[in-house]
Amino acid sequence: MEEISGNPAVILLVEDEEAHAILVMRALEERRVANRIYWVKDGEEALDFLYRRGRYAEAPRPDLILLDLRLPRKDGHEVLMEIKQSEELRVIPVVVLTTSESEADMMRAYIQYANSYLVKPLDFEKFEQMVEHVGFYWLVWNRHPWRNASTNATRRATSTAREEEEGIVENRA
Amino acid sequence: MVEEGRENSANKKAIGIEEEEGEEEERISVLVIEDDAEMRETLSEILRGEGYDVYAAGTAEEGLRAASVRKFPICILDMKLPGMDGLSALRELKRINPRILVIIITAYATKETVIEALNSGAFMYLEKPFDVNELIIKVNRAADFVIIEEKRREAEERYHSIVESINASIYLLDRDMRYLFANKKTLSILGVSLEELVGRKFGDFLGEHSAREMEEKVRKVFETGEPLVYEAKSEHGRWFLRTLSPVKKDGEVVAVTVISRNITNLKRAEEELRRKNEELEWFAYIVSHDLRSPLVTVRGFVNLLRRDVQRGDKGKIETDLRMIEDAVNKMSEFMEDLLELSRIGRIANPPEDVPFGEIVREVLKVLDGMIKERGVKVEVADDFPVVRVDRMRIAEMLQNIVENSIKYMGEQPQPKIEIGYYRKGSETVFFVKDNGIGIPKEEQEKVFQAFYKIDRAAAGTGMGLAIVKKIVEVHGGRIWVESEGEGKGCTFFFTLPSKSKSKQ
Repeated sequence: MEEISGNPAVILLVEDEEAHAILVMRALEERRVANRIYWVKDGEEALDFLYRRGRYAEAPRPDLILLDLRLPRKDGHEVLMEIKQSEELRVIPVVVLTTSESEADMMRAYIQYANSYLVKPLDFEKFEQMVEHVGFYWLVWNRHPWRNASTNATRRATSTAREEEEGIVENRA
Repeated sequence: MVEEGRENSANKKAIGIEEEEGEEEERISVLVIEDDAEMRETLSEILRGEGYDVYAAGTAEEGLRAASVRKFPICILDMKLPGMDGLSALRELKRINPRILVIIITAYATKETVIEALNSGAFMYLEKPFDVNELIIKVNRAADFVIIEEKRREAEERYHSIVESINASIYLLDRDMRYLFANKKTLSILGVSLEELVGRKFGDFLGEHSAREMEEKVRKVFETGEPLVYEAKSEHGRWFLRTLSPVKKDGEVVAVTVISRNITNLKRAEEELRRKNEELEWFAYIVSHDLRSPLVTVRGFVNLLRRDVQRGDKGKIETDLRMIEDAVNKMSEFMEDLLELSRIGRIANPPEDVPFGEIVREVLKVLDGMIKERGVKVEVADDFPVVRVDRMRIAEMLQNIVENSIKYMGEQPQPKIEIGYYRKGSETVFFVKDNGIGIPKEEQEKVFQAFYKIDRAAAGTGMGLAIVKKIVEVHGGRIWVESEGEGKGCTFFFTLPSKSKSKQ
């Protein structure tokens, strides 16, 4: 686990729909927010990544998890529950990013300690803005135990996003 | 020598009880049996003057003849007649019409004869010579009695007809929970006569649970004097709406009337409505989600496309276009399935008698490629009955189920599908059984919901089984799925109307 200032922030994106995953990544890229995004397509894979199982043995610890709810194999609620029940993982901020406007989904997410619940806006400008704010809030302003790097450092990292573009998406698509 | 009073509305008289204005009262007829012509004349005249319809007879025999062809509510009978004596005539009159009120006239009234006459059913007596006023008062008194009695009987008949014609059990219980009365509906349900029922406890007829519940409610009505309405579920799963009302005498509850109505069908309809509402909610949720998701994609990539065109980034333009295309395709597929679902039930081919085995063969032929590709072994019963169905729809339904089974075979090395049927009561239950991945218990009801997919990654819109269910329901059948759980295969069951004329 690297704790050097300026180390790029890591986002784990759990999203089964390719188009939406690309949209999130493009939004972050367009707004130059983060630099390392890992994209997984279902709940099982998300947990493999987090527990560094199988081919994710070398996976970095994410600084933020963007979690869709309707997922194959293991759905978002189950993943959220496992994360928040784990001593090891529960400190990672989990932002639910979904198309579900259902009150029940939202309640269930908060009851299971989701850190935030966001509904994907239809309008892309807003989508972009939202993703940007999420990135800044959770990766720049927000502090948490293993990412106590100064805001400056993260900003620097952010500013280098463009240069590190090749490394931006480590997905298996 | 028969004289009959003429109908004369101007001469009508309100007798004894108050009448509503404008209401026309039938005149009360009086039979006078008197051998003395002069006396007979006098009596008739006086009574006609009072508004009565008088028939005067000179002998007991004539009087009895008149009484047997016409119902006289009142009779004035001279006890001393030639031929048949007064007492015998009185008894005979009572035999012909037990409700007739006989006023006897006697010239030499001894206590014994009067008592004997009263004992034989005489209403009153007049002593000769009598005062005109006395006569009028006594006849009027008898007329009052006739009218009151008639009204009472009418009211009773009215209540009786209500109690017997209403489609509900009505009965009265006393403080000891014993039956005091029950209407015919109750008696036919319990299978006893009123005589057998009265005096017995209702606990003898109800299930233990129902009896205890009811006793508690009845007691409450006795205690509070307030009516009570409640819904009860019987041991046989039927629902009753019971209205308990106190019957009071001098302010004290002496009995409780129970009106019990079978509301099972209503309850079923309610339940069905609740289910449909849930389905609708689910539907709205899914439609909003499943349409929203591709919309997010389209709007996002249109926006990005504009930027990428400006930047001349060819690679990204390609991706943008592909994403838009995919999303739009998904939306049209979704819309088509939605239309298909709403079309079932609206558009139907006329039902025909088809051997179910033919439909099975047809479907297996269509799916032949898929079956061979997956190496599925299919076992089919060989003696299927004839069903009366919309042939195309049922074929479509069966195809959907079998396809579903093939699709969810999982890693099964020896995939197998069995299509068969069995009879249960008057019903024929068809089934499609597989040894594929199965369905977890909690998902078994949901699989028939529109757009529901256990595995979100699986192809299709999740509409197949919703369409299947709709087709079966439009035919008046039921469909359900059973599975021991994940990895244990599953069996789809459904019922269809049989060939017989009985229509579901």
